[in-house]
Amino acid sequence: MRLFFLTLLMLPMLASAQVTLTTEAYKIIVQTNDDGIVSEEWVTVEEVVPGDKVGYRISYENTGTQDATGVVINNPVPDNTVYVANSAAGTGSQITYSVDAGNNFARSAELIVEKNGLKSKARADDITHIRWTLPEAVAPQASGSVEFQVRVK
Amino acid sequence: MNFKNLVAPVVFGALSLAVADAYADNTEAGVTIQNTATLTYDVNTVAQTPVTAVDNVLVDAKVDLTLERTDNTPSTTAAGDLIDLGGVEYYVIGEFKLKNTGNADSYFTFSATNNTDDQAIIAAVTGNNKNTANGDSDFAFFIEDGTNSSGLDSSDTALSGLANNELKLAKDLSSDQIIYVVANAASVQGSDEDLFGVDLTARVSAVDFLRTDGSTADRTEVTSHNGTATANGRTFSFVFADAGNDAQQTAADLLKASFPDLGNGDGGPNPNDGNFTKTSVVISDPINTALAGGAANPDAKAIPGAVVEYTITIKNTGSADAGNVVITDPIPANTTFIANTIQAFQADGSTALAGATLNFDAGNNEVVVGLGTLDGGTAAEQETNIIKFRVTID
Repeated sequence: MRLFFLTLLMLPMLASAQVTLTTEAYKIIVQTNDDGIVSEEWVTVEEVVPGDKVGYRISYENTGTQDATGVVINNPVPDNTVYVANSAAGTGSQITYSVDAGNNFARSAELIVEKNGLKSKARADDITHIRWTLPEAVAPQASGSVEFQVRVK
Repeated sequence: MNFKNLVAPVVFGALSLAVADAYADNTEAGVTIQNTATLTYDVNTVAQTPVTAVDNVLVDAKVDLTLERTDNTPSTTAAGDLIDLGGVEYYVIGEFKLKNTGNADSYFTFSATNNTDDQAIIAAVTGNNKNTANGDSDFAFFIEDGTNSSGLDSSDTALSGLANNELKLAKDLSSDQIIYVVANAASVQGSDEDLFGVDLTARVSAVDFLRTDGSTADRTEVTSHNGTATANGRTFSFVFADAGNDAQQTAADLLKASFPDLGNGDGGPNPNDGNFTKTSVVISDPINTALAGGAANPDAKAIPGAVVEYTITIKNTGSADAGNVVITDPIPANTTFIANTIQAFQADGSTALAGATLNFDAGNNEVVVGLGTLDGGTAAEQETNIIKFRVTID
């Protein structure tokens, strides 16, 4: 009887908060205007070749009726690409990185790699995973997005 | 919760990390880059089913190449640079190195034209602009068989023997592919130090695409910069990443002719300023006999019965040796050759020239002297020979 009660309690919770997630890729075009000011434009991907920068925008939305808490978005850096330094962004999120295939995460300033017995600060191309942690709950009907950039190897 | 407490400083080993090497930095055309984002969340502290989103990006064909001459030393027409391939003699006009810097195995075609400004090709090399005798049709292409240039030889491959006249080069060549542009030796006609320049254009005509199963879709012809093609049911774009965005590169190289120069002067008013001259002196006449040792009597006049000595001087001022040099000189009318008076000397005019053949052809009434090889090269190496013979005025 007690088990039955617990089940009843949990079922609505699973159904009531539903977070959807989409990821879209953009090609990043760097433009320099006449004043020498460099700007980046995110355009729909048409052709991508080695050396190009690709930006990913990952959007979430709480389509349920209850707050979603402890929201964490994990994103491995795709194969055949390298992470572009300082490109990860996400309003209201804490961003951490992994340099060991997602086993450990730390902020970028605290990332250490060990190569040939020497420890050094991790570089952008050492990063294997990016994680966005949202300290605030995502309310029903609320949405947001995070993003990062890679360069195609 | 204070976020700072969430993350403790950690030291990560790099054991499981793939170290990016240079070869990996050119993702092959046809590879799919997959991005997978995963979101986890709780509702009322109960973990919910993670949500995953995936986006795929297809890597297109980056068409790129580098082409340049191997060095700034022109090839020459010296004997060692004459190549006999399949019974045809060629001179190497240009030697180039080609690299496929695109991200797909690619097929290259070649074309060559005479460069009309040979002097501009290599700044330090000067000479006269010259074209091959039959124009651009004189050129042919050979592919070095080794990864390093060892010079054109019979082990190398004629482009004309390859399918579609195309050379297939893998992406990420670890070293350059050497391409030789040759011309039929008979078409390389000119004077010493003439320059024969060539422009070689290499073009990417087709590429291979990687299929999703790891096999390759062979030879899809390139279309245009940012154009598309369909291979194995997938539509790819072409990005011409080379300078000019035209999937082709052109480079120039040249041959500097090194021929013997026995030519007689510069064509100016003085006919005796050249390499092949003839002078005469009256040695004696019936009244004023020769001096001691047969030397010319300064009083001797060119009257009937006088002995006249002709001196022929020939010098090779070219940069190459002249072989099998033969001087033929008909005996002038109203004179009679004096038997056994032909002599050949070195440049000093007194040291006999070893190996010369000294003949009088009675049938044609002419002197025929074979000098053998007349050396060319540097100023110090350039050889002068002197021939003397005598006649009597009838």
